[in-house]
Amino acid sequence: MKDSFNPSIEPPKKTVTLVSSDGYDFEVEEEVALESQVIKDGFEDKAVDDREYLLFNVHSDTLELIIKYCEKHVSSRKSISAAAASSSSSNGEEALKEWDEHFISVDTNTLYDILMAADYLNIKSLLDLAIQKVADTIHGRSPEQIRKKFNIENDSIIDPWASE
Amino acid sequence: MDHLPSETVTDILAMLPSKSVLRFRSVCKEWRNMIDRPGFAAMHFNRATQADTKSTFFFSPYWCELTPSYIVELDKQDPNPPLLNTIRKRKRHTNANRKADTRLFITNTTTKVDLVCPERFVHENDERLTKLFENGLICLASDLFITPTNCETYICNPATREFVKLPELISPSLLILTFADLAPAFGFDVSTNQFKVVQYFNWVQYGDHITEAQVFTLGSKSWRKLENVPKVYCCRGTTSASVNGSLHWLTTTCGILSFDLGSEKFGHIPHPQFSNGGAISGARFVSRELMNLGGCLSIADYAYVDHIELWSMKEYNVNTSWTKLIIMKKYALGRKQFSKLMAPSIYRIAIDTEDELEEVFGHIVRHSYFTPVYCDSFSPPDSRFKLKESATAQNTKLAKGRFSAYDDQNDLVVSGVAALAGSTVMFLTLLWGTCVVADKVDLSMELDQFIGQSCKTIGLLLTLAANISLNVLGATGAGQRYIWMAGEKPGTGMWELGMRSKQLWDTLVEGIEEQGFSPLQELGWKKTGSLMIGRS
Repeated sequence: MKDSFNPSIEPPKKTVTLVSSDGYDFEVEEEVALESQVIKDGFEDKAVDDREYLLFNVHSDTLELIIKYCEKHVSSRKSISAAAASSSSSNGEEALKEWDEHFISVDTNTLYDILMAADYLNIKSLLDLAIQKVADTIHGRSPEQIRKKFNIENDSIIDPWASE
Repeated sequence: MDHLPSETVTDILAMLPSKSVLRFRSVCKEWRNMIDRPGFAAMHFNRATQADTKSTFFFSPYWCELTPSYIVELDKQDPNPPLLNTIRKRKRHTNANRKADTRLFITNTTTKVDLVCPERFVHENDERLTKLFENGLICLASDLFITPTNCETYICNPATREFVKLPELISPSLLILTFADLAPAFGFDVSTNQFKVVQYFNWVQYGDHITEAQVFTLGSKSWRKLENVPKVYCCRGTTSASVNGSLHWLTTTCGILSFDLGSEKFGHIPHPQFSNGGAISGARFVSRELMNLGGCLSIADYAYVDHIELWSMKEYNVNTSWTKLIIMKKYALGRKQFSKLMAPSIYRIAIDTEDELEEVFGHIVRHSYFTPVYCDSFSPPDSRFKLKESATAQNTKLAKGRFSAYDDQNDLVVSGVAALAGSTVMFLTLLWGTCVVADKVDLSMELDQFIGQSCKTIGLLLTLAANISLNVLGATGAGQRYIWMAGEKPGTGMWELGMRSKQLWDTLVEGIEEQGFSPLQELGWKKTGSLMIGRS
């Protein structure tokens, strides 16, 4: 339906359905879904009408964020390369960095969910972003605070460096 | 936030500044195992080198082991790189109330200089140990061979304060009744993942010039003699650099001697067309420094009054790719370009020691804490990646113990002079070179101030050269004034005497400059300075 109204020469956008762990369907454009290495890996082998992915480990709330991230990155990548082609100066990368910074400024639980989902879906840039964020939040904490935060039991013997 | 996959945790840890990682070793056994895993050091080092934002550096004043060094955590996004800021306030310092320890801060920024590395704890002779850096490890190697016992080599990790003493060098069979100059070099062989230390011997025996080289692979039990060593003279105090999987030394005659770490074969790289002539001799020799600048083999020539000549071999072992850069001295500091250009070379930083600020000149080397120090006589080869807990603890205690002892003896300034015995005037010349390079002022304009700073810096150095039980009996020549001044407190009679001597010296230097000569070249510190030193 939608495709018939598209006047451009571009081929119609293909979509992929992602299903969250709590059963919600998310229809996303193919190139957005391909940001995930896991989806990308076996993507060609799958039949076109069978492009549905059940993501058992990703809750709908998180999946929404992940899709938002991927869409943003796909679109800004396009605009950056377009700007480069027309040799017009643009600060697209700067803007994207800022957007990332804003995107990842979430509470600990959401950050954890994003981290796990990015790991599960193998989205390298998002994973790095989340890891950097976690590293920033735990930087300068004491081991005791870390144990609390990560829910780790203290099984250490006395550490010669602990006093530092 | 629990049950993260261990790879993710490792990734997170690798992102952290070294100090945090060290602290997090004590979170739990699992984390500690992740951090102590051999691969982690490399991973952390790579991250630290690639990261755009924060990075940890090792700051080591001078080439000498006698001064404390610092771990510097830099925030690259800081608009004012701390190292390049000129100092806003400077209090007069006296030797008596100097405290060269504990919490140190670089001025004008929040960046901390956090840790003093008491390298000198390893050092008990009055020999000078050359500092060589590679992948976060420091090799302290002697540059003079008399007997195997007097010639010590250490590998240390400044952050964990682990260190190992390497076995004794093999005494060269041809070496009779004389001593040999050593040219140490330290590098990492990527093909085998091994660190190697090479000592290049050269000496004159009955009129013959003899060379020999020995290599030590970290993790092995002893030094090995190398075959087919070229007869090239590398003067004592020569600088070496590890570039592109090879070690390099500046030689006095035929350019650069190279040594491939993988194949263990020597080679030769021609030197660039220096403006002041090809051969390196006398005072000019020590004014040149070989270094690795951004992966390029480079030579800095400090022998000019108003500029530094920096030669960089853009393409490794392509002789036509030597590129010359001129850095005008008055622009040398306080400008960002300088930091990029001179990356691992000499910097000036200001260090806030509790109640006063002082300037320190020195090298900054990219640093990672976690390069494991392995190779030691007390741990078997199979456990070489992991020092035994007890051994580590002992080392720590040793390091800390010695270090506090050193604090107590800050005031023994004069005896500290003797620490220069191993290097005497050569070292002073180097020091001069350092000051010339690192100082922001135009030498001819503000010579007086400049020399004042040199005095101060040498004073600092001597102050730090604490507990060596030697006394200076006398000193002659150019070095004298500095040394005597260094031993005195400002305001005392001896200081005034030194100041008068300094003024005479200044007049002399100005006279030479007016005639259009370079005082550095004409006066030749090496010729005029000498020390008479004896044990008390």
